[in-house]
Amino acid sequence: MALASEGLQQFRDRHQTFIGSLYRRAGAAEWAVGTDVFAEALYRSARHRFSDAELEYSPVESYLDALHVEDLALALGCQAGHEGAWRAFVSRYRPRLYAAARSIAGDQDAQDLAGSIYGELYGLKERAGQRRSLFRYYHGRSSLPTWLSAVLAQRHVDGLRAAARLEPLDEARHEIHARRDSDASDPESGLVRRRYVAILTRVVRAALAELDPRERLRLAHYYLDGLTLAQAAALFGEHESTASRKLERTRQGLRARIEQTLRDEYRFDDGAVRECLTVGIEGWTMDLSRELSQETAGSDVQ
Amino acid sequence: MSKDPSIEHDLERAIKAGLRERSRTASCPPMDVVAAYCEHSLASEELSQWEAHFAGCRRCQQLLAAMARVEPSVAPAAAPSWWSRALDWRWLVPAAAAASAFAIWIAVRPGTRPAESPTVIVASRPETQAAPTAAAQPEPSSALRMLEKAQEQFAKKTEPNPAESAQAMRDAIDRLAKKEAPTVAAEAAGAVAGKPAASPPAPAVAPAPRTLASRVDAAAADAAMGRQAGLVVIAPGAQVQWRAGPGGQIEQSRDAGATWDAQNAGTSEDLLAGSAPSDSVCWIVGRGGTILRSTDGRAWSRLESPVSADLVSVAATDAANATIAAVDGQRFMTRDGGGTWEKREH
Repeated sequence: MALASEGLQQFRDRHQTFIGSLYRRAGAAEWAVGTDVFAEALYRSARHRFSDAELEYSPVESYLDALHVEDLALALGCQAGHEGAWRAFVSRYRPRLYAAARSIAGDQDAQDLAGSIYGELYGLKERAGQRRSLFRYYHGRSSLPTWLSAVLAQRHVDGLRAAARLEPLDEARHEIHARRDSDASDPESGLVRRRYVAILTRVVRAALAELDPRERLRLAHYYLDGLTLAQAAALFGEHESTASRKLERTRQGLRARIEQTLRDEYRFDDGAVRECLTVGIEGWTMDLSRELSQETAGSDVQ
Repeated sequence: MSKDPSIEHDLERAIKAGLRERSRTASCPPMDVVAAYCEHSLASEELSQWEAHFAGCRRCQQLLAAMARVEPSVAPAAAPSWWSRALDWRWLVPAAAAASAFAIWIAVRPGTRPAESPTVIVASRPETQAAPTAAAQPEPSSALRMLEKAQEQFAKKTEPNPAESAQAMRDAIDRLAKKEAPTVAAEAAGAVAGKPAASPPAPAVAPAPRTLASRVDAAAADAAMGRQAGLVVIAPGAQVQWRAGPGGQIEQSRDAGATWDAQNAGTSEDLLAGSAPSDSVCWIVGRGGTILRSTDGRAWSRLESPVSADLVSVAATDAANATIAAVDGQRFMTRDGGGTWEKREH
């Protein structure tokens, strides 16, 4: 704690004038947020981005200048229970919070999802007798509505993942036992199946590993998340036609690479390619279901 | 590559299986990083670092997908800005009732516009003057006191059912919202009922005489080169937007309209139309042949115009190619970013 206090004091001394200008820009006084509290919030935000050592030589003021300080001040005011801040928050952001919850969770679950967040923003949970607001995790790096959407999305996704863990586990167990029985009665088929799974997983993993992370992410959103081109394009800050072109190029390139490797490296003809894919995918999919069931859900808001 | 449909289909399934595999990556980022990523405001080294994590983490992929499904936000009931103040100040018509005010601006300049085709800009302000009776609505402080009481009860667990306290809190928030922002509460009610959220009131430019100006606008919309809604110009992706209006004022938003930053356009002419083919390229036109262009999203330069008439439409595909239309129906195209203009026939 002493080190943190020292770091905060050095931060304040070094950037005193700039902090003052941000304070005025933020309109923090309107929500009765003092300069000390505001400066500490800026320090915590900077420490999330930079280490204490980095704070000395990094372009901290550029980072601070890009923060959404008005939203940060409002969040600090709400955290402190300021009536005017809450009034402003409710009028500005409550409809958006509920609209975002509907987009994320659907009409039926939106009310509960948004309501649970709302309660935690206000501070229904307590620790050591002190109300703890979810706003303490907001550091101004994005606009407040986007951060709220992220919190909603995290709650929703973690809830779905926790629920999904139970289903594939039972199915996977059943499939594993069925496969063991089949392999025991026909060892040669089992050997072929295991060989095709090994080949296919190796080839596909190698092909995916060659992709740029963004292209892999693009494929995941297309194949697994069902995003529209417009949604994926917005996520990457691209024009929809650009996103479409890149996706198609990546998909075609990947398919060609996988097929070519099976033909060149393993000398598979059409029939063998078809068999490897069919048999290999069946076995691989079952293994993935078992792995998915062993994944843990994510942590709380950080 | 094989043209066998069954092989194609199985290759797709193999890719899908490969993507589902879990990678051994670092811990997931905090939500402020995820939110900053979605707003495209991460520093480049952070972007690379976290995108590498996202590429191998199904949880983060699902989270980003959920974020991508959030509709462009309902506009908050923000305090009146220069936007509405400017219109009110210049063109205020006395209102018969105290409930709302309408600003009507009929702009007809002798010698530059046919008298039979005025451009009308109409703006309205949301209801902010209504004063609910004391008997009908609780005081805001009592609504917040109810919040505090609900919180205390929740914390002390004196309520037999904590959900009731949470509901009491939600009811208090409802009353607070309705007291302070009736239009916002109506939007929220409509939103919960599944109706589309209302767009913020924005000045609308009436179409010019039916020549090619309206066809240019329609072509721009069809080609998705950048949408224009009244005097708000929205880049593809909807995150970056500009709004422009009287006196050469321009503002930019990089968060889908949540916040706005003033930009220096270097003109005092009224601005009437715009087109943004990307987040960094925006064309805006206005009175007296005004043509402005930004190629970095921030700085503006005024381009030489082929006409001195008011320009009421622009459709651009990039920084070099654009078509403008004047109020008298004349239409011009440039392929070199405004260096030269070619008159187009109807």
